[in-house]
Amino acid sequence: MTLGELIFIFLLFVTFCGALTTVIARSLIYALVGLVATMFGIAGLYIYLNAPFIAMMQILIYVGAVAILIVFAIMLAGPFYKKPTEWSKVTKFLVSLIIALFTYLLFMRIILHSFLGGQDTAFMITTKDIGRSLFDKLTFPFELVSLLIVVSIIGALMLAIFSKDRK
Amino acid sequence: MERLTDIIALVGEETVRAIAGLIGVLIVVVVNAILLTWAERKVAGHMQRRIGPKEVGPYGLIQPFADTFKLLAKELLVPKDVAKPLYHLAPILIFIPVLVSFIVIPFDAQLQVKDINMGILVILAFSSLSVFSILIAGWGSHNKYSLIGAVRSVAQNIAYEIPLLLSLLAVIFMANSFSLKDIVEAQKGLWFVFYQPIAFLIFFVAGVAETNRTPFDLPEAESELVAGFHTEYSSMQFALFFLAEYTNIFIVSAIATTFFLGGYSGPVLPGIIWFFVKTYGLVFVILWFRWTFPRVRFDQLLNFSWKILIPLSFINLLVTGGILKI
Amino acid sequence: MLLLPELYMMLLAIIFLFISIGKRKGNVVACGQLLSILGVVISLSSIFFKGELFYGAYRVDLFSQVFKVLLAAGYCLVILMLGSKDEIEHEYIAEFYMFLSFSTLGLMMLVSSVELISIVLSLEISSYSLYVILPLRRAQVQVQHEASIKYLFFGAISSGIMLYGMGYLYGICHSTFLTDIIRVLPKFLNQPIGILALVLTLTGFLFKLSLFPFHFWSPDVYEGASHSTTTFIATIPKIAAAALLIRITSMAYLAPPVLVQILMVLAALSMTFGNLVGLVQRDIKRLLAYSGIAHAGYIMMGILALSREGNLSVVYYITIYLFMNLACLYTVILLSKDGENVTLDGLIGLSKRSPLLAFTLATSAFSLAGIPPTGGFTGKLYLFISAFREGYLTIVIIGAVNTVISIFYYLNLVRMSYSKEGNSVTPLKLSGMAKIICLIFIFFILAMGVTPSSFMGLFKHMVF
Repeated sequence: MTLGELIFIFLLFVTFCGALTTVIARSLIYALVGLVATMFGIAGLYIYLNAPFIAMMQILIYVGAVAILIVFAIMLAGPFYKKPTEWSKVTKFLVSLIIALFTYLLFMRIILHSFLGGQDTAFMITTKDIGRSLFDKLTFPFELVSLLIVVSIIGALMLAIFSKDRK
Repeated sequence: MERLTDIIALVGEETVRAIAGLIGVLIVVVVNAILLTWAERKVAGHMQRRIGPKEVGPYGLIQPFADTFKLLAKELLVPKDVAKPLYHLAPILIFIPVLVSFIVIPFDAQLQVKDINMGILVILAFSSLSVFSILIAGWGSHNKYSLIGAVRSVAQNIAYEIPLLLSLLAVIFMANSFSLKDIVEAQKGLWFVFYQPIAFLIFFVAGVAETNRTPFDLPEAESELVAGFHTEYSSMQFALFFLAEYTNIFIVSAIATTFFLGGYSGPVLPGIIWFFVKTYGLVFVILWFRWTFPRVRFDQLLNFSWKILIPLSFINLLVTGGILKI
Repeated sequence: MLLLPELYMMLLAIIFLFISIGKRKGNVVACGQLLSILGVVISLSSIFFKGELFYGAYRVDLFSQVFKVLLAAGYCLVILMLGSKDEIEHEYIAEFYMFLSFSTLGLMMLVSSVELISIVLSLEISSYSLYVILPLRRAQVQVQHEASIKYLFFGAISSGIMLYGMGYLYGICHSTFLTDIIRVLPKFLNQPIGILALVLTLTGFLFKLSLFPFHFWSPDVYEGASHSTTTFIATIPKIAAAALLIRITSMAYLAPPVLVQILMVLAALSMTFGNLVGLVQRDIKRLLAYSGIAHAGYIMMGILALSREGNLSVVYYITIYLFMNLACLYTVILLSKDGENVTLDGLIGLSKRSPLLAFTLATSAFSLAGIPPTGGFTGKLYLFISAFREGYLTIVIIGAVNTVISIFYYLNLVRMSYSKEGNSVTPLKLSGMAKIICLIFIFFILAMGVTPSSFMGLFKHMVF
């Protein structure tokens, strides 16, 4: 096993544990810590896949912005809230386990039985390439994003106004 | 000498560089913290027409070491109801962004752990982690003062991270690179502070706010919140927060130096001396702030960012982009 | 000028935005009605535009333009129907119109997009607007919140699944442009990964169409949302979803039988489930939700034929579905006094109270059930024929059986309004506008039933 493989396995482990914590943690803050760990793991995987720009963006956006905003919401909602345990019932746990295993096996089967083309050569996409394609081939989606953001900003404001009036 | 090259050949240049870099970074962090605790007291003293520490060593220079020993020797107190994993995780976590940031800062033309072509993104991305660790510190302490401090810190960081990013973006537009080294090289002619005075001001103000220094030190406002998010920490864990805070001041000044003041470039003296002179000049200004400005109110703090800094930095960015395109 | 309908929609949204910001909110309703009618005219005038924009990411052709006309017509009808009876609080009416315009704009861009990222983004633009207007409802306390939360969560999850599938599509085709994908995808279609990618990608649109495993939101949303929001959600996103289903499945004409089998199972389950649960519903909006689930199943019959005829029949059916569903919901809007939901008992004595409204309801119910000479019958016939031609006899039989089951509850609507005598027979006054709208519905439902060839003549040129 080379060093690279070890790092890869470590990143997978971080991602997996983080995801698991996010799902089963009883306290929202712990779930959030798990989420942040997952994001870091994924960012690490991006670096491993030769995409450092996306990795940095992953951290900047998901840890720096999304997670912090979630925290803010949790704090406003009351930090000492503990969600009721959903894992008290053994049957529930078993059913989830079976579904998870089934999905896992299904996906393994699908991926193992598919030929994904002979693209083993690693390729590097630089920040410049990303910028070029955003303003060149993908102009329309790029512009659509601005419209999407406008709609969501107005929507958020409106929802705030609606709920203010109702009180 | 021969043995050294042998060792380098054995483990690879990258590894040696990484280890040497880590050691260097740790030295800088510790020395900086020691220097700053001393400087802060001295500056404070002189501004208030006192002398400051003078008993321990000449000009009180040994004082920080005495403080360090005191902190190290103290018992690690863990309050009863804390959320243990988070409580212990926070001081460690707050140190990661600090260490990562040093990787990309160029101290001199050759003196840099690694020149990553998106250096500033690394710093900005990891700096978000420090907010997060403040948060879990505040939450994990199970103390209302800590919690309020943490919430304030988050609100403040959300508000000030945007102008910070936008002001740096204006410089990145001009230098056409994310790499800190390229940015320094681009300032060979004239420092960017002269092209981008507004961006510099915005960055500096936002940077002071990001490091939770006065007049933006609401997360640890001692008159209201005891000590904010690190109220419940003692001994070495407290020292880690302290260390991180002083290192953050240094990093903000170092980034400002790199982005606006030409980094290591300067006449006659070697680059590294210029770099430290400029950086510590800015650090001094930040220390100066503390004894000059009163603490702002929380609504003023947020309004200042959302209503003044952010629109201003957007306009600045727009004008920069427009001029560069023409 | 190729983007004329979209630009006009955007203009509408901006106008309503400024109205909502401004102090004076004079006659928003009349203004909205006028502008939306103009929108239909504009989309009609741009029906024969043709061209490609933005490096081929946006295609304007007859297919997209016809769908844009349908979307504009649906939008216009929704706004006209809202007109007199507003269970939306009056001060928010401009905002409501604005989000409807944004949503329609998103859907219009959706039917023209031929690039995966644009497809996702336009779909999201449309959904985000709907998430916002869902909780807007007067005279109710809790239901609308439940509805909006459910719609938000299910919408988010289905978008997530769709993005996951698109990730695979991008991974195997190395492009987000449908024109590139269509070249590469056939090589992968006989592998599990190709089918997986395609089916997961369809999920987002199946959600909008409320097909069986993605239907959970629809009864609660129909019940909880205000009537006008329901009329919008029940019809207009479904049109665009059908358009996109056609676009995406047309990449897979050579697909192996397993894809068809998957879609067939979904269609059969959807029909059966929708119709069986629909039998016991008392609330008309809930009933229409289950009917919508069943109709999604019928529409899938056309899609799974994976042929030109199939797509043609889908276009025909979704057009008639727009009119018959809107007609049915219009009855609900007019019958509910303060914006509360109408149950089957609320229909009692409708024929005495307002013969025209009762007749509209009867026509639409007949059409939904698929009884000649209404458009619903003709549309269903086309769907069945197209599936039959490809040799999928099973699904045709299941569909036929389902049609018979569904007749029971559709005709129950008619029975309630015609044969039962109510205690209080207060005549329901219809305004002139309401009468015209009723007549429009009746005209289209009957015309599409009697003379299908006139519509088919147009649709024939548009599908591929």
